[in-house]
Amino acid sequence: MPQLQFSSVAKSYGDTQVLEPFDASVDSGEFLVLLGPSGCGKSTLLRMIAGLTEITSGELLFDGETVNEWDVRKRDIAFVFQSYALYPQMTVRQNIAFPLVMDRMKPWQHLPILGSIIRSRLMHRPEIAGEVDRIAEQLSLVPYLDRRPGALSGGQRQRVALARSLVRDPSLYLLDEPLSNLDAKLRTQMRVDITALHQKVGKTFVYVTHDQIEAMTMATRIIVMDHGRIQQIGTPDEVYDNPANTFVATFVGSPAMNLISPDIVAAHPTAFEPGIAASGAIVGVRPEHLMLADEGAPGLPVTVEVVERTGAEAIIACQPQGQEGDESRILVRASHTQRRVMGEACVLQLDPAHVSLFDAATGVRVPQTSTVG
Amino acid sequence: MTATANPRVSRSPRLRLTRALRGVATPAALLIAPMVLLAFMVFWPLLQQIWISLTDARLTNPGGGSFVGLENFEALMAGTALPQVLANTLAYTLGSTGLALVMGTLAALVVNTRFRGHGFVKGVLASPWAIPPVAAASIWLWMFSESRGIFNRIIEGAGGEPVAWLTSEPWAMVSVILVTAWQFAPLVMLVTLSALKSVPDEVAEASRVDGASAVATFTWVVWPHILPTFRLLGILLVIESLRRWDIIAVMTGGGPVMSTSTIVVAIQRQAFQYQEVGMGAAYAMIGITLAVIFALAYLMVERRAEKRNGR
Ligand SMILES: Nc1ncnc2c1ncn2[C@@H]1O[C@H](COP(=O)(O)OP(=O)(O)OP(=O)(O)O)[C@@H](O)[C@H]1O
Ligand SMILES: [Mg+2]
Repeated sequence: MPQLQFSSVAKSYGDTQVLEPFDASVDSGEFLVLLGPSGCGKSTLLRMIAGLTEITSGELLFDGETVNEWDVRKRDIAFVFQSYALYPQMTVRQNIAFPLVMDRMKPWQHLPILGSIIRSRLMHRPEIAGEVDRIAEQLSLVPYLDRRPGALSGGQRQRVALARSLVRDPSLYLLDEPLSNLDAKLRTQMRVDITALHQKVGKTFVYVTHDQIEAMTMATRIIVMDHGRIQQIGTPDEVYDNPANTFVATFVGSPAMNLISPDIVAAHPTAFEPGIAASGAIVGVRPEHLMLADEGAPGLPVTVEVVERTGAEAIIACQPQGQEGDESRILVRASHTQRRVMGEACVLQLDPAHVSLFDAATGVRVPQTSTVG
Repeated sequence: MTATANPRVSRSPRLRLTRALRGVATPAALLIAPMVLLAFMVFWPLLQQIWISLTDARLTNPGGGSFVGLENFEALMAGTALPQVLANTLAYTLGSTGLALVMGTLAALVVNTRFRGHGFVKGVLASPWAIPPVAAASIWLWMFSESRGIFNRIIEGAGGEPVAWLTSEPWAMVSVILVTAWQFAPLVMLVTLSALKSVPDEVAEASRVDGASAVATFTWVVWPHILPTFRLLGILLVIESLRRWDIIAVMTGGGPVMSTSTIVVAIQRQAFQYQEVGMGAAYAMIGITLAVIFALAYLMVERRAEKRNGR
């Protein structure tokens, strides 16, 4: 259960840099989530930890030891491939048992015909058969154990991939979007199961996803990435409450954090705290930290555009008066008892304790001084 | 009912008829040409061959022999030549196929590791394939030469006794097998190489993650993947070496004392040297039977593999 440390780790393919140098460290037993949009380099980073992709520059350390040159096998990992990478000529049972069988086979036993006999005898051993049955049960794969991957649906294949990696007892779990193809019910269940497994085994997990619910619920620490650059490293709460820049602010959270441009702030200085209005920064507020009040109250005058009820709550989209377009739209999360109708003029009030400021030019978070208590 | 459900299905009976006809007519039209060609170029000569094998035709008048029933076959069964020719054929066919498969696969595995200059090595290893068999056999003839050949020079240099490569048993058979395999191996290498490249990278990586060594990855992941290609190569080479005549003819002429006479060599000798076309045809029938047995065995194995894959 290694502690991972990245020191100026970077990756390029030829001239294209897909991962910029970064430093980070992950404590032993953490559940690290790599979160970011498609193509940002999550799989590349995960494969570098696994030793499947070469590190172009920098050092990766497990428990203080440089592992750049370590073979995959030496790293003792479990890996779920984004593409599943099942063995097409083996049955589901043989796929799942493969890591267990490999652990128990001696080098000379890998001869074509002899090997097959030894493998099927190994697979009947209770410690292997029992493990395979247990994990197949957990992932509802029992009916498919004797099929080959070609005869399975995408979600079933993904479960086999997950089963094959969870059947072992490695020191490091690396999972690349392992739940992306499952239905909502199974995904929720697996989320709980993986979290429970993490708590039980206490090993280090690195989990790639672009699903922020997974990130927020499972992670003990999140690395948010975009365009090959690490945007922020922190606990789910830190990332959510104190986004490091406008990318993180809008990528994490659903609906995203509202970004109010300096022009609008300058046009309605009384609606904001004095320090904020003068700062010339972008103002970021989460939808749940906004309140709608009736016209005439102090605050930012807006017009209601859309009201979307989702049951317990409602998402109300409003437009600052005199503005139009997606850019300036502000979303408010309100109780479903709020009765607002389209076109209604209201006033938007901010919770000053939950306001983030971002530099208008760079998008980087501006540390707040005395303005907010 | 179903027709009305789909507005695109024609409503008028005449249209429906043309459509139905078109469904059958197209494949039929496409099949007619090859069928006719096959009939003229394969089935007709085959029938002729069967007929000739039942006559006492001679080379001077190949079409004119008189019907002798199974006499040719009886003569073959009674003689001592047939068992030896069959044994030679099997040894030559399986020997050169097996050796070519092993050499070609090893070469493919080496080239596939992508060391510096692997493209060049691949080109060199593939070149025997491009040399005409007779020319190849002549080159080897020189290398196998008892007094001046490079092999004997090496053996003598190491203090050994020179070997009569082409004129003693069993070395004559070993030599022709070696040369034939040398000619086949590049094909095996190129085809196996493309099969190796079609193993998905991530599947091979998964086996490394799962703790498989390089050898284990080959046995459990790569080998099953290239096995169908390998079987196909096997049957192609078996059929090819069953009909191979040129290399043996140039190197040993079937000797010494018939020890490298395969069925094709025997056919040639019976039909053209002894001018007994009828006997030659009888040998040919046995050769065809062998080829059919190998082909059927291949098809059976293939069918079983397909069933196992659930297709
Ligand atoms: N072999 C390669 N050569 C060049 N560029 C590559 C190569 N492999 C990946 N890339 C690039 O690296 C970037 C990161 O790829 P990566 O697979 O890590 O993305 P990802 O974050 O996992 O995306 P997704 O969520 O879609 O899986 C992409 O822009 C991709 O085009
Ligand atoms: Mg990916």
